[in-house]
Amino acid sequence: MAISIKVNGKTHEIDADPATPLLYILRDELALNGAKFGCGLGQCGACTVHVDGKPAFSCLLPLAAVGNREVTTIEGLASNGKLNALQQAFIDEQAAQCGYCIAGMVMRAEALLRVNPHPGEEEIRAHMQPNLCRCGTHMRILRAIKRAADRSTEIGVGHEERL
Amino acid sequence: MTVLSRREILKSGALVVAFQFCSSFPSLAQDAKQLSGSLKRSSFLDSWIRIDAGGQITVFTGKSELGQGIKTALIQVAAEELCVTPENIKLITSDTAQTPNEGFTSGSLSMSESGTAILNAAAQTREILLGLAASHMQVPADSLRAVNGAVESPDGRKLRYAELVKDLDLHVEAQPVSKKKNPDTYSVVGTPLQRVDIPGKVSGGAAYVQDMRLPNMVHARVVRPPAVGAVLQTAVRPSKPCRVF
Ligand code: FES
Ligand code: FES
Repeated sequence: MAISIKVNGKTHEIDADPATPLLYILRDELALNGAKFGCGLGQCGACTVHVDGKPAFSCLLPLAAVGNREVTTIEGLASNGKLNALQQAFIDEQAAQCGYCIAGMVMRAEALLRVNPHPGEEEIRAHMQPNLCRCGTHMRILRAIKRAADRSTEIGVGHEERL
Repeated sequence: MTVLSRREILKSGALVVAFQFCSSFPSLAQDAKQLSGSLKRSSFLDSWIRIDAGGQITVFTGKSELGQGIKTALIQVAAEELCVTPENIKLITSDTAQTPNEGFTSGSLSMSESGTAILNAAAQTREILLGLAASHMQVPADSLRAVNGAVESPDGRKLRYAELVKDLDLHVEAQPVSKKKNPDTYSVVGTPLQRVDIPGKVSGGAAYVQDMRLPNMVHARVVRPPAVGAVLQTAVRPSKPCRVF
């Protein structure tokens, strides 16, 4: 039986075992590259996506549990081909080595900036804790998040309005 | 230098690394009898550089981008010796159907092997272009300069690479010695350039082998038994294609 899910604003009918992790659906059925398989066990954060705006490990979330909630992947952040402020900040800070963790990092940080546009260093560190970077790009990742947060301070508008 | 005993090193907590500088570094000075870097394995210039009729320059490497930034670095090397801007270089990495076989990407060897090959191939390609322009303009090649994708003569005449490609044959073996630029005159190498692979990595672009999708590709998964010695009793074949090994 097909299960319907909404990803990046589009509804898809998926014919798969209801227990299939959302990550497999995103990558194998919908051909989205953003969310990555790192551990498959909820331990690395490479697969982080938003489910109704909240960060979630897509490797742990069964397809059937998504329900009507909206899934957003990093492919859904850009608007009209223009990267959002946080994505741009990762480029500006050159915050990637291999980059395998980066989509998950961006999605987790984006979730923070949406509820707290000007987080402090400690808040950022605590929030980013579930996501690991094997290459050791952490300091640049922190700088990129701060850069996006500071930019919103300069402009004096909320994160979403900056897009 | 003073020789330290192991005990003294441990005492001071210092790490002492000694280098022996050779008079000729293989990547810097050409050994006249030998081709440099991976040119040893793939010696034709067109294994490394091709310029199409429209003047588009494509550079090939058998090394893979693993986050070490070699795509960007190799583009800089090629752009420098070909006298074009980095945006004018299209780089193809480790595609077995197209690129030279450079074995593994490991051991910090990409720049010394592939970088050296591309540096020399690019310098030799530029010299061939200068030679072609010289015969078109009927002037000595050494009076000409390559600037921004074109060859310029002292009297102000100019021929773009695209205008020279119809006579250009890069299916020739590399020479052991290249006329390389003096590093003091470098304008691309040694200047910061944003990594070309990062935009794709922050936007869900295809960047990893896992992102390859081939026709009729199926996904396999090893399912392990819950206990030692367990045997598979039944397997339900799903509606989608499935292979059981
Ligand atoms: S792949 Fe989901 S947390 Fe590691
Ligand atoms: S950049 Fe390689 S894992 Fe983070």
